Formats: sequence, structure tokens, C-alpha cells
Amino acid sequence: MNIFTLAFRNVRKSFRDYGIYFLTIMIGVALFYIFNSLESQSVMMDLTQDSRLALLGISQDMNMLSGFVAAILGFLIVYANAFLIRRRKKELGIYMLLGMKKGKISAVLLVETFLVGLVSLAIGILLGVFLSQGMALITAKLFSVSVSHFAFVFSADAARTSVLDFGVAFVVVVLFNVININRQKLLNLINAEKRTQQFHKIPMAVSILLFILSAIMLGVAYHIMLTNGFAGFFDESKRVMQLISVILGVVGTMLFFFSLSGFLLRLISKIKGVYFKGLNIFTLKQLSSKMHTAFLSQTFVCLMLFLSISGISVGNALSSALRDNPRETTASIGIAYMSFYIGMVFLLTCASVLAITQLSEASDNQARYKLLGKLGAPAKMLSKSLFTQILVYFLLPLVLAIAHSFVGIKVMCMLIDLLGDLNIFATSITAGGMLVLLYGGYFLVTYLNARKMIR
Amino acid sequence: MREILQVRDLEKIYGGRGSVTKALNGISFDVDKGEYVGVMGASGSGKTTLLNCISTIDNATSGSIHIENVDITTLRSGQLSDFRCRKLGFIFQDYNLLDTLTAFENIALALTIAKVSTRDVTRRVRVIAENLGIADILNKYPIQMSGGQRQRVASARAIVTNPALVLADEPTGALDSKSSQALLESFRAMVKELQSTILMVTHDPFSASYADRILFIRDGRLFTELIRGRDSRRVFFDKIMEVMTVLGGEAA
Ligand SMILES: Nc1ncnc2c1ncn2[C@@H]1O[C@H](COP(=O)(O)OP(=O)(O)O)[C@@H](O)[C@H]1O
Ligand SMILES: [Mg+2]
Repeated sequence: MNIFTLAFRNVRKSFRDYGIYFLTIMIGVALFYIFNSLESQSVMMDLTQDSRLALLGISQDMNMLSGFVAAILGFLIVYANAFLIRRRKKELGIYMLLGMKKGKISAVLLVETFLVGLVSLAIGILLGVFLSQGMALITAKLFSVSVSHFAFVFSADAARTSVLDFGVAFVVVVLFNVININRQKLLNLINAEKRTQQFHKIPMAVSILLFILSAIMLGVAYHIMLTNGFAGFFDESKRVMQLISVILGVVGTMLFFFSLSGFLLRLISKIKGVYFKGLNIFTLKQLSSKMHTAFLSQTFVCLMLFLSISGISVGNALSSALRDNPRETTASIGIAYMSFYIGMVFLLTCASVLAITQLSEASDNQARYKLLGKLGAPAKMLSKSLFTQILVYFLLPLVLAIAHSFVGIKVMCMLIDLLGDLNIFATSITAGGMLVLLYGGYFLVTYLNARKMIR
Repeated sequence: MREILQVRDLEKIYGGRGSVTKALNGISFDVDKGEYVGVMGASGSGKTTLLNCISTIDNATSGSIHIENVDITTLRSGQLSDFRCRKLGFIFQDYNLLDTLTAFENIALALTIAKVSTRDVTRRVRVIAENLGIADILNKYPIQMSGGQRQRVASARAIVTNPALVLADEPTGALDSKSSQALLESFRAMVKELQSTILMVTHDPFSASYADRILFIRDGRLFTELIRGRDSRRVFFDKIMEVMTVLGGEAA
């Protein structure tokens, strides 16, 4: 069969699997475009010479930051792609079995990547163009200038940068796929689904001890942070303390997730009224058997979420402070935008990493759900078990990240020395709104996709 | 009423457009309470299809299947899963235990799906495990058990809910002769002591010789049936072999 026909058919067939991939690239590209098009938006504003220069400076900062952002989004694309390939291993194995050359398989994947990339890139830029008009209004407000000649602005520069940077990411994906396909042995591909489950049991007492230890570490880390703030930036002697606090925070977070599975889940299994209800035995076992390996990604997601919530809150807090106090320096606008930009990108990263791991989980578990159905578990019961599992994975890192953020936001406000004026509560609600929209949206898409998989 | 299962004029047609397979071609039979019935026939004769229709995993094309006087071909999907977990027990050829759960949890799950009161779960699992001789492996995971042990755990899971009918598709297919024998003995015990009713598909005359009655299927129809009566297992085995010869060379 023709490579193009095959690739086209594959994309259409696995459209559902490509869902998260599409969504992530789309939102990533849109964000990327918005923050790279700041300068072009200024044409519609009545800016003074000074403000124009200031905005130019900010947009240059943004462009620099975009290199970093592109790297993160590139990583996400490669990660999402790896998931897709893993999910399709059997299909690829069958191509090989039918005698298709590895080169041809790589070519099919290349065309697929190109197709998906092109569509999501186009839609992402389109979305970015629309959203950036709103962004222009906000910028104008921050500079407290009026928008005299509103025009629909398209930034060719920003679009070009987006296409270039994401193009590089796609090239990496293609290389990754070629290497991956060439390394595969036929047998591995066909048997990809047959993995045996390992059981490591950590004694309950050890789990409890580790859990208490993690709580203490986090408590100490919070305390040091709250008493010292970011003084370490200016005061040499306090720098060590600050470093200790950060390390304690990271290690404490890791231990928290590591011990939680053994601790909380086994505690619940002692409560017979809960344990022996519906599919709870299965659900709890699913969670605890994966937690030992999932704790690293949970830690990663929690810390990213923490940075993201702090970033968005501080970004919002600064911009609302600026609105009340127009004579503030333009540097603050820069910080506000950067925090917001980074915050959103991190949020996107967390959400899609979680979505991808949960979807691959659900896909690995298809046989188990099918068996439960045969044993007479109604579809509703299965969906409920799936919902609980995905919810726990999305919620656990979020809860700890919110606790971290309370401390983080407080400290950052001290740093920016605006504590008096900043209404942390109000801006945190804005951050919360963003979170619910993006993170909650990803949760929903993940659940709905996973549910379709197990039907 | 003595009949647990009544199958009438059951038809199952696979496919459409061009290639049509009549997997079941108007088959009828009854199974009484406490009976242990074997189903034999050549490969492709429709045994698995029959079992899947009775087990509500597949839909029959026409005909009726009454289980405890309920026509399951008229049930809707919500009622079906309810019916499945309350009235039926399944034993599959490849055990089909959940590898993440211990033997205890695998058996308990059948009860919790059927919404049995949480207070009774532990006790009922223990009683069944005692009966099938797997009490000492309840805390093991499937990967730590032998094939025979796994199949006995699967059997315990199938009967712990006191189903009206236990359906087994080649349950000894993946077992060595010693484990097969142990499992078949425990099936007999299930019928004798727990008044279970078993419908077991098999192509192995040795396994079949443990049953009370054998239904022979050919081309989706009932070819003949063989009743054990007062025969010893040896004699019954020989009779089964005879019918298999009549049925044709590859009556496996
Ligand atoms: N899902 C299906 N689609 C089409 N034909 C099927 C399907 N399942 C079984 N068949 C056909 O129905 C007939 C009976 O199959 P089956 O019940 O599996 O036989 P047995 O279990 O006795 O070996 C065979 O001809 C088989 O090819
Ligand atoms: Mg069969």
C-alpha cells in the first residue's frame, strides 16, 4: 500500500490516541505564539516612546525565554510520541511480520508525524492569533494606554518562530522513531503487551516512618523559607539555609509520594466496609501496584505544578498591582508576563504528562477491564473505578502543590516587596481558575479517552 | 422446577455480506439442577459459541435461553451484567485471574461485584477455599501459583457467589494430567456437596468422563447425547470414545 494512504488511514484510525498529542501541541503553539507576538500587538496602542522601548525590551526577554519554553514543549512532544509508538508496537510488529521494510515503516511514521504536526501547528497558530488580540488589550491596560486603532494583528515573526521551533521538535521525533524502529526486534514488538507485574512490598511500619519523615522534612523546609524568604539572594550567609530548604522540600515531596502508597492504601484496605465494596479491591490494588513506580512522575508533576501555581499567581498579582499603581516600573510588567508564561507552560507540561501516563496505563489494562466485564461488573462500575484511579493521580500532586504554593507565593511576595499591596487571595483565585480550566480539562479528556479504551 | 437451563432452537449466525457462518443451527437441550454436563464436538462445531450465548457474552440470532425461568435473550445490557454476576459463574481455559490481586482478592472480587454484604465476604471466601483445597495459598499472587492452583482459584471465584449455573470452556485445556484430575475431582465435589450445576466444554474424553451426561455437537446441532447412569468412569470413557469415532476422525 502507498505510504501516504497508509499514514493517512493510520492517523484517522488512531485519532483518539492522537487526541492528547494534538491538544498539547495546539495549546503549546498558541501560548508560544501569544508571547512571541507581544511586539506586533503594540501597533494598535498609543504608546509613548518610553513605553514602546520598554515593551520592546519585554518582548525580547520573552523571545529569549521562548528558547527554554520550546525545549520543554519539544520534550513533551517527544514524550507523547513515545507513548503513541508504545501503544502501537503490536501494529508495527505486524507490518514487519508482513514483510514491510523498517525503512518503509519509518517513512509511514514520518508522514504521520508530519500530518499531525502540520494540522496541530496550524490550529495552534490560529488559536494563538485569536487569543493574542485579548492579550493586546491586557497589555494596553497594564501600560495604561488606550487602544485607539484596534486591528486584527497577525505577527508573521511569531508564526515563523513557532513553525521553526516546533519543526525542530518534530525532526527530533522523527529521528527518535527511526532509531526506535531500527533497534526493535520483531519478537519484542509482537510480545510488547505481555509484561509481568512485579510486587515490591515495603513493610507498613517503614511506610509510616517514611511518611512521618517526609512530613517533618516538608515542615522544616516551609519554616526555613517563611523565616528567611529569599534573603539568600542578597545575603551570602543565608544562601546555605535556603539551599537546604529547597533540597528538603524536593526530597520531602519525593518521600511523601513514595510512602503514601504503602501507607494510605493499606490503611484503606483495613476498612472492610470500603475495601469490600464494588471494584474497590481492584482499584486500590491498581493504585498501590503502580505507586511504587509512579512516585517519581508524581514528584515531578507536583513540583512543576507548584512552580506553575506560584508563577501564575505572582504574574496576576503583579499585573493587578500595576493596574492600581500605574507609575510602577515596566520591569514589573516583564516579571509578570514571564511568571505567567512559564506558569502556563509548566501547567501544560504537568497536565499532559499525567494524561499520557494515565492513558498508557488504561491501554495496558484493557484486558483486565474486559475480564471484569465478563465477571459481571457493569459498565458504570468499571467507569467509576477508572475515574477514581485517574482522579487520584491528578489530585494527589495537586494537593501537595497547593500546600507548597501557599508558602511559595508568600515568599515571592516578600521578595518583590509588594506584600502590602498584593491581594494574594484574589490572584490565587485567578490562578485557580486557570488551573481548573486547563488541568481540569486535561483530566476530563483523559478520563473520557480512557473510558472509551476500556469499553 | 428441576430445569436450570432450557435452550430452545438456538441459532447464531456470524458475518453478513457474502460469507455467512451458521455457528449454531437450531440446537435445543435442558440441564437439570445439580447436573454435571459435558459438551463435546469437533473444533468449529459451535461449542464456544454455545457457551458464549448462554453466558450472555454473545447475543443469539434467534431461539431462546431460559436460566431459572428467565429468558436471557430478552434482557437489556444493564440487567445482563446484573444477571451475569448473580446467576452465572465462569471458568476460562486460560484461568483469567487478575495478576495484580492475590487469590483471596480474586475470589472476593466476585462477591463484591455482586454486592454481597461486606461482612460476609471474608467468611465465604474461606469456606470455598477450604472446599477446593486452596486455603493455604489465599495470600499468593497468580504468578506464584501452579497452573492447577490457578484454575482452582478461578473455580472458587466462579462458584463463591452460589451461581445457578457454572460455565466452563475447556477448563483443563492448559493443565497437565495430574492437575486436570485434581480439578475434575473438585468439580465433582462442587456438584455433590454444593449442589452446583456445571456445563463444561471439553475436547478431552478423559475430562468428559467425569460428567453425568455428554452432549455431542456437530455443525451447530445436537448430534447425540450420552448418559452415564450407573456406569463406572472407565466404562463411560469407553462409550465416549465410541461416539467420538462415529462422529468422525478429528472429533477433538
Ligand atoms: N466471532 C466470529 N465471527 C465469525 N465467525 C465465527 C466467530 N466465532 C466463531 N465463528 C465461527 O463459528 C463456528 C463455530 O465456532 P466455535 O463456537 O468457536 O467452535 P468450537 O468452540 O466448537 O471450536 C466456526 O466455524 C467459527 O469459524
Ligand atoms: Mg472453542
